[in-house]
Order: sequence, then structure tokens, then C-alpha cells
Amino acid sequence: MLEAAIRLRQRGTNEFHGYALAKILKNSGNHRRLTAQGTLYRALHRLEAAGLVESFWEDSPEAEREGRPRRRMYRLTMQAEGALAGARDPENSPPKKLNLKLET
Amino acid sequence: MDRALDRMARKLTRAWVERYTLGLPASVRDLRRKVIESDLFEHCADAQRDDDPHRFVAGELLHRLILGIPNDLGWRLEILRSLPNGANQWRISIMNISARTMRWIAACALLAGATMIGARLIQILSGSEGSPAGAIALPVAILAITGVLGLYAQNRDTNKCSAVGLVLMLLGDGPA
Repeated sequence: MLEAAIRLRQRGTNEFHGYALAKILKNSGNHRRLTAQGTLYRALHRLEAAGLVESFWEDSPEAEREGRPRRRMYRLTMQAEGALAGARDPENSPPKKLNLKLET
Repeated sequence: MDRALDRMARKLTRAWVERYTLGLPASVRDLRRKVIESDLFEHCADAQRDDDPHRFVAGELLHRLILGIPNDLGWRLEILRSLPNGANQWRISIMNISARTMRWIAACALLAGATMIGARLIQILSGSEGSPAGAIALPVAILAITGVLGLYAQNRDTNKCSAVGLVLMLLGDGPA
């Protein structure tokens, strides 16, 4: 899930909403189960509790202008970047917080 | 037709979210409901942008809803566990469905299904023209009796409302 968020950022999207992340996960093929709303938002909730993601409501005017409900936006924290770098680098062992069980 | 199915899938998702967020603190409950509402909107808006006539949005929505149900309940339990001890603790106990209870319910469902198929087969083989309700009545009665007896035994053993509580939660256990 963090990698999907990184992929979004590589496309210039630093802040993303849940469905945008679900779409990335769906297109990645292997993680279709994670796109289920319950799984997706529970995982984001856990990542937020672990300090790897932070969330906030987008501004009302933007949503009103586009005639849609306000989005809950998420962005990766510095801690998440460090954790991902650690997980990719075999020299540094990944932090235990990354071992979150995100699927049932 | 597809639009009607989409609307139905959205309604089902909303109804489910309203159910599993019942009784949670208002801030948590409202946040989850708004997030899902936004998600539903984004999903449908994305489908409209896609303009793919073969895209089955209702199916996608239901797929996302159904696969997420265990995690919805798990999330609810996490939230309840994070609350201070007190009035909400009974809500935690009703969510603790034991494996034994689940096995019992599954066995009841299997028994009812097998009886229903058996009754229908006998009906077909004997060529009788009995009403379908007659074929269904027996397995439903068996399911009801065995299910209630099993749940009674479970509740007596564990002193928990377990599955009964889950049903109550789904039916609505108080004002939203």
C-alpha cells in the first residue's frame, strides 16, 4: 500500500484520496483484495496510527466548485519514507511497524 | 438497468456503513461515513470518465463492499477496544464470535441447504406438484430450531451474546 502511495507521488500526486489509491492497487493486479473499502480504509487507519500516513479533509470550496463530497486526503510522512527506504535496503532492517497485517 | 443496479449497490454500501458504524463515537462514525460517501462518488465519477460501456460498476462496488466486510467488522472492533472501559464494553463482547459458534452456524446452514436440495429432489423424482413453500418450510424449521438451540447453548457456555449480538448490531442496536 505504501508502494502504491509512492507510485502516486512519482506521478506528481503527493496527496491522494482513498479511491485513487484503490485504483492504483487494482491496476497493479496482485492487490485487488486491498481495494475493498473495508480493507483499504482499515489499512489506511492503521498506517495513520503507526505514523506512516497523515490524513486531512480537503478544502470545502474546491469540492463545492466541482460539485462533489469533500475528499479525505492522505499523504506519506517522513517516517514512511524512512521505513520504505529501510525495507528496500537489506543493510537496514525494516522497522517492525511495517509488519502490519493489512489483509485478512 | 445498469444505472439502477449502480444505485442499488451504492444504497447497499451506505446501508452497510450505517450499520457497522452504529454506536461508535460520533467523530469516528461520521468520518467513516463521509469517507465512504466520497469513495462511492469518486468510483462512479471515475466510471463516467472512463466511458467504457462494458464496465460493470455495480459489480465493482459490490465486490469492494463484500470483500471488505471482515475488515469493516475488524475495524469496528479495533475502535471499540480503543475506547475506555465502560458503557461500550458490551458492544465488544457481542462482536467476539467464537469459532465454535461460527462452525455451528455454518453447520446449520449446510444442513438446511442439504435438506432443501433433498426435499426438492424427492419432489422431482416422485413427480409431485407440491408447492415450493412446502419444500422450503422443513429446512427453514430445522435451521431455526438447531440454530436457536445452538446459540442458546453457546450463550450459556460463554455468557456472551456472540452471534445474537452481531445480528442485533446489524438490525440496529440504537440511534445512529
